[in-house]
Amino acid sequence: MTTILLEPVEGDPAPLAASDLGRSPRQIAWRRFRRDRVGVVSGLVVLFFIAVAALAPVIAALYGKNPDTTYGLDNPGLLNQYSFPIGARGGMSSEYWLGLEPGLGRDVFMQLVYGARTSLFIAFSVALITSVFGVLFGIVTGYLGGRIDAVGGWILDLMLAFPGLLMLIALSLVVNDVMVGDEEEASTILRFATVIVLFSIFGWVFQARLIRGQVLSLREREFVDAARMSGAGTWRIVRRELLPNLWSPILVTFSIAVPSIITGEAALSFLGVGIVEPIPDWGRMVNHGSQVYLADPAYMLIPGGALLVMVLAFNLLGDAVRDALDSKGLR
Amino acid sequence: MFRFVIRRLLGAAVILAVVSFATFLLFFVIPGDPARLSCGKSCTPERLADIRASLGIDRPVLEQYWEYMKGIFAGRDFLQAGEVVHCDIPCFGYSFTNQQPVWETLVDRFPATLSLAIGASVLFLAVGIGLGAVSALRAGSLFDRIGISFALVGASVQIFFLGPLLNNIFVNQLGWLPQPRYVPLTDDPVGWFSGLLLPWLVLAFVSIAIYARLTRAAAIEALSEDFVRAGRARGLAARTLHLKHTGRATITPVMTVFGLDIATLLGGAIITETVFNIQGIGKLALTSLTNSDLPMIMATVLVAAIFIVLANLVVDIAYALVDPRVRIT
Amino acid sequence: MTRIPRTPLAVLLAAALLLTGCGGGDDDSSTPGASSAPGDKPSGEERVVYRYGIDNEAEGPAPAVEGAVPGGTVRVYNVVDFGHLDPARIYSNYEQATSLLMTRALTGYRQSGSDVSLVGDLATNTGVTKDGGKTWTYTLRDGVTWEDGSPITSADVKYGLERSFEKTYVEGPTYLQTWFADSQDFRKYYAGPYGGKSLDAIRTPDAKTIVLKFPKAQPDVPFALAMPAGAAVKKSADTRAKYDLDPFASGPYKIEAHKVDKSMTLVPNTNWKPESDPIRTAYVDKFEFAFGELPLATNQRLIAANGEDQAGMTSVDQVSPEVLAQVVSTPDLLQRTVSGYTPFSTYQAINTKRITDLRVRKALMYAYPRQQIRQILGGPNNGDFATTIGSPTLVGHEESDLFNVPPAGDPEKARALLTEAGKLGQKIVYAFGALPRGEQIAVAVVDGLEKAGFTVVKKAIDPKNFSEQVSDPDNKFDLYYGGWGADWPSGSTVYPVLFDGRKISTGSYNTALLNDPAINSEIDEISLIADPVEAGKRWAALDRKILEQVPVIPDLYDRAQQLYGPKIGGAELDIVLGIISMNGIFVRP
Repeated sequence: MTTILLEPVEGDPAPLAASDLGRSPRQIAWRRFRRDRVGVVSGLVVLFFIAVAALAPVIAALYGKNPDTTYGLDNPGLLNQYSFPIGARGGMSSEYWLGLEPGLGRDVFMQLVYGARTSLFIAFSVALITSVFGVLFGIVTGYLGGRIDAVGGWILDLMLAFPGLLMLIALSLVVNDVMVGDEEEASTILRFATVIVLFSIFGWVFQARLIRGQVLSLREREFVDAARMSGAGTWRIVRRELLPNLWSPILVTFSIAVPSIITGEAALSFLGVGIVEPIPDWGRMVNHGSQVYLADPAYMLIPGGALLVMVLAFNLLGDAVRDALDSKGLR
Repeated sequence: MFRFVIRRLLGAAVILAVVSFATFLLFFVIPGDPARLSCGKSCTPERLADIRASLGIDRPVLEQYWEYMKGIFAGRDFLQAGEVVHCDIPCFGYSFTNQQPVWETLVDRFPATLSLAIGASVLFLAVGIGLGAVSALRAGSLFDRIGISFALVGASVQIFFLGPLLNNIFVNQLGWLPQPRYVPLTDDPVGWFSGLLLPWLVLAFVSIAIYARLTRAAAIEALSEDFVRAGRARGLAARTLHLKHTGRATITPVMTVFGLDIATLLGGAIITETVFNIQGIGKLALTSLTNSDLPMIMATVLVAAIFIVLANLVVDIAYALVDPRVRIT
Repeated sequence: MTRIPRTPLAVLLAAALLLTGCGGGDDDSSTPGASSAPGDKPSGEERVVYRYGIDNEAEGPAPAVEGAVPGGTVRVYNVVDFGHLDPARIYSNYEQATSLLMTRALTGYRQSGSDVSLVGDLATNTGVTKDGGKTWTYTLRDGVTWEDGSPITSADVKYGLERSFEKTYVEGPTYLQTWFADSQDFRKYYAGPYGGKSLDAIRTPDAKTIVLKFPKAQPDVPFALAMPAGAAVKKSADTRAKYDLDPFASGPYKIEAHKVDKSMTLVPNTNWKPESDPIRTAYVDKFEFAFGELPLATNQRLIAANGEDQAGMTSVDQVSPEVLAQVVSTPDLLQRTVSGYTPFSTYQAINTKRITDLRVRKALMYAYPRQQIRQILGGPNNGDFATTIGSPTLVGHEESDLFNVPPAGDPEKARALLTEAGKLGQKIVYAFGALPRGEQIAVAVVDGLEKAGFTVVKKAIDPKNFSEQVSDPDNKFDLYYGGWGADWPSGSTVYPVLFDGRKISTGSYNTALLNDPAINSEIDEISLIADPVEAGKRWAALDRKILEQVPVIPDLYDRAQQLYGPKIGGAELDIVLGIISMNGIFVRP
């Protein structure tokens, strides 16, 4: 529902604190970030989730389980006749740390660990692709200006006019039909690629709008003029003068994009498109959890809580990054 | 100003034309047989033949598109079970699943979506801006931190998670609220309000954060601007200052985001409508997708696009009116 | 008849039905045949025996429901709108159940507890034949009227029957049409009334008499006429395609408003006379249907039963697996359910054109993890493990278990068979409806089959195209869901539909694509047997003979369980349809 839309507002950068004098902007930002306790904690939480996702196979090996085996169905005594875990708190035990999934009886801890992989991989890939493309588009149209910028602005308005979620659903249905041959199944790679590409198609506009706005305002600045006067080439101006000034908006949009993609991907799973079984996915777990919460509250709280914490941490981290970089125009 | 508006209107029309053509192409060209897609789930060979004849499937895409667009402005005839059915202006196609012109279904479903969007907007605007403003005035205070964190939690939960949960707790178990549903405001104002209250709350809750943060940031910035400082020096009451000066500076970014949000909502809040079974445009779009009701899908995409383009237009014009610094060229 | 996809799977093709010991027959014969079906609750609870018969004495009004009071509004929450309400196009059980409120056919069923009788509905009795079933004569009851007050005439009945030949209406059953034409290709014989021609085989000597003439003896005619396809349609009220949304009422209710996929309101048809109708009661003032409700949400609101939901129900949705444990373990809730075995039985069809080696098909059967899959669906309340193709509700059903496959499968045995066939690693393309529950089941199927040495390729199919795709004779799948029962409790509505190789075509129900001349000719032979008991025995033998070839893996003898609100009275399982009955419902004060 909510959309990320950032409009540049002109204004002077905040006055520097006395202690910041003589430091590079990067050092200043880092100092500020370190002083923001909420930011540091959420940064650590985010790092933790990334570490868990990256180390999933290692964790699985140490834990001695995998996300695919239907332990509850294979071993009697774990699930009752309605396929809910036997035992308190969703069947938590020293054997199954976070209990078992109702229905298929897979290990919740493993599903969660591998599900983090799915969410984060998709979110980071999309954020990366949209950022790169958005930045390129923004710089090219914004800097070249004139007719190209007019066309660029028009393309952005056009892309914005497509109802994103609806198109995502419709296209994900189509892709499977078109891309997968008879007698084969959609590979895991294709499934991920579909979600990533579709999100990117409808997601880059926001980054592009923001960057373009920034470039438009930077273009008029004295230092760019000065560089132009001194005979610097376009590429040099972009690289030396524009890009350094764009890092903070890029970082900020990136940190805002990641949580919104995580929730967006979860929403697609809720609607039954996107990432499907047997690939572990948090959105699907949360959805399932909210259906069985009366009979098995643990299964709702664990993935629901994990998703909440992760998205919250990303959001707070985004705030902290923005504050540290002090990009005033970026709200 | 007048020329600016005209130019923007023309631009909007071109965008709509392109969106409609792209959607048309997408659904008519990519998945194979559009007649089969228009035919719905219980497709018979005869209905298929009707549709082929009605849509002129064998003709070039451009010609079909022209027919479709012409239908919107001039009406069109369709064949159904051997009978000719006329589809009046504006004809957004004929749904062979619902057996009526798409427009009639749209008109039937839109009030629910409108009610949902308006109620939720009022809530998230009021709470969001209020929270943001107070937070800005007391930046760094406990209220500021708690308020903004609360808003952030909202931004971090999913409607499909929160909706069924709250519904079961507040409606089913505690019985504090009636089952969410849409009744026309004119039929039963109390039923309209109570039936939509939970969907409004849930929809608003997930959107409050963005407005609160937006307002807070803009207000903090405005409060530090020279003109406010100067006003304070001139002895203007703090109240006047907050309202007049800061308010104006805050409203522009909020307006921009709100324009797109309300447009998206009017195009159909797919997940909220599905979770609470509010029979609006979003639910219609989703049902049409599962039914493969192509004319209906086309129409819902177009309607959503129209709202977005219109909202952008309105925001741009309002922007120009509110903020004289915006150049009108 | 077919039924709505249960939440678990995308599409279930299935028929329903009833069990009778008697397929019509002699002049005024009322020989109630009793037959037993396995009973009610799962896991060792008491069994209810359904008994079926024919009652040619039934008169209106229908017997009063105990404790019933008139008045009130019933709210019905359904996951989807009715696919069809046009009697010529209805084939699903939930459509039939609601259609019964609006549309009257020549015959119908009257249920009392676990007893079901076929009775005359529009007609005074279930039909009279004097030549062993070639000619059937029906007389209309007095006082049967349309919603506009005009009398229902024999011409209306004839027109209704003729309509089912129309090439536009392909969804309904085809028994009567093929019997009239004595050929599967009945549209060549008669193309329907829209072309202006009428069907000579149906004669109407006067306004109250209808005579049906068939080339061969057809003892099951009274049963076929009980389906909506046997309903009357008034020619001047035939709105053709739109009739499917708003049929012209002959029963106690008419449609006041119907918004596709959104809502429908039924109000009393004031021109319907209770004394003309031996089947229907009409206590409720209004039925308000809401479509598009998620099944779990519907179940949760019915569990809570606040406010107007006290008189709420669903005519489609089963108790969701998510709340099943809660419902079954709460006496108050359990009391508010209808439950019991239905005529549906389910199976996994094996594409016999692709998997030609019997040993591989057997291996599939041994590998298939039925118990795991039933557990995902919520356990034993979904039904008992099946060991035959036909449901135990069929006349002449005989228990048999040819292969003794353990419920959880026997991967070792499957692997041994596969090894013996030299097909270890055999690729199996498993097709299923692309819905969350379908995906979950697929996980278990893949798991089970791969343990036995198969390589499985999963194909998620768009649910709405599922039946079309798997019935395609050239489909590229090996294993897919299916299900069938009977339209009436005779094997003649099961085996010919599922295993007659000459019927293979897209849209047919022979999804195993089995075409064995020996089976085809045996089907022809048994179809000619007039004595239902004798025929029942032969069908049961044929069931075993077919299963020897393993064209399908029997899965479950289906069981239904549906929840309703505390103020709903008179709710019971329609034994014939295997779903909650809309007839006899009243609102408790």
